[in-house]
Amino acid sequence: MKKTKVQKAVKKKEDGRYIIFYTFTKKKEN
Amino acid sequence: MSELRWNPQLMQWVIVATHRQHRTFKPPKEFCPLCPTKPGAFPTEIPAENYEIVVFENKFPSLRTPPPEMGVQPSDLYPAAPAEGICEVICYSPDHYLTLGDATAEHIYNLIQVWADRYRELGSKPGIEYVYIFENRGDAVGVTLHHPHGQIYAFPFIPPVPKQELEAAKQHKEKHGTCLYCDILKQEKADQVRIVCENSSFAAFVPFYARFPYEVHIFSKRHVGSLLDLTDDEAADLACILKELITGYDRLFGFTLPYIMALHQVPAKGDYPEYHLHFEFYPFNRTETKLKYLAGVESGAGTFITDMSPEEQAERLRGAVK
Repeated sequence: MKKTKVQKAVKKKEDGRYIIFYTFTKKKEN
Repeated sequence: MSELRWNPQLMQWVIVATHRQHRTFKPPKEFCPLCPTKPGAFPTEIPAENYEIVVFENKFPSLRTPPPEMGVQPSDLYPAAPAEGICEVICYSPDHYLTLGDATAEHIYNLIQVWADRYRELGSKPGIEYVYIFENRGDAVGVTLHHPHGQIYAFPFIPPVPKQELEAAKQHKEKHGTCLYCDILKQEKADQVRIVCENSSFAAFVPFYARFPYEVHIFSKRHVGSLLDLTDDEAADLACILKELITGYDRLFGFTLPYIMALHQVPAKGDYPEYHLHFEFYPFNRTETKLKYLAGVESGAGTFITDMSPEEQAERLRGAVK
């Protein structure tokens, strides 16, 4: 399985609650 | 109104959260609040046209920071406390019909990374004692939204089930000097009859003492306390065994099997070297058409009755995961 590296972007919704978008990029193989 | 009320008979907290009575209940797909927001369509919980995995604060939380005002005055007989904590929703995928069984192992590996991130971040917050990650799947277990998602409760106390497990692990360690979970795993490996599937890092089995039909526990083979302790390869193995088990469940029954998936990890604060990371799956189907109900003996006496031996359940599940 190709391993991934996770990144996240935290944003505020209109009502003030937070929402976190997680994205994944493939790790470079050694 | 929302608060914690202490049950002095059972010595445990009950969450009173009256606002949840009006939460969104089984909307049609076109009004699913967990789908991405499409141009011109109604705004969902996710203000984006697409996403990979998303986490947000539950709109109808049982626990909240800062907590709402309490609706009652505590007393000596009836202690009460603010319902402080955090409730989050994790959307596994923008695909409304995806299940974890359908997802690729790579996607589940990504989800494990999100679980680990939430466990770390929520557990580091002041006042949070236990981070509980779980999934309710299917009408039989009472889901109100069918979009693939899980939930996280960051509790201001250690809830009764993990607390009892921690106490059992502590007593076992004191008596035998070993980890209760490692010993159970050793026994299951020796007996073999209740093993459903395994790989290098994890084993899935119907416990000797299963309470729910086709209940399965997944233990890490290495003694670790949380997802944060896993290596990349172990996390990948966890993704594979989760997929294998859930696919097996669905194959055995011929439909998307309703279940509760509970992830038990060490509490957020303190030192618990005797505890051991594991998943517990509780399906409710005894057969394709018959459900297990928590009736008089289970609810009123706290003793479970199972209609099929764990060994027979494991044998049937083993055939389905192949």
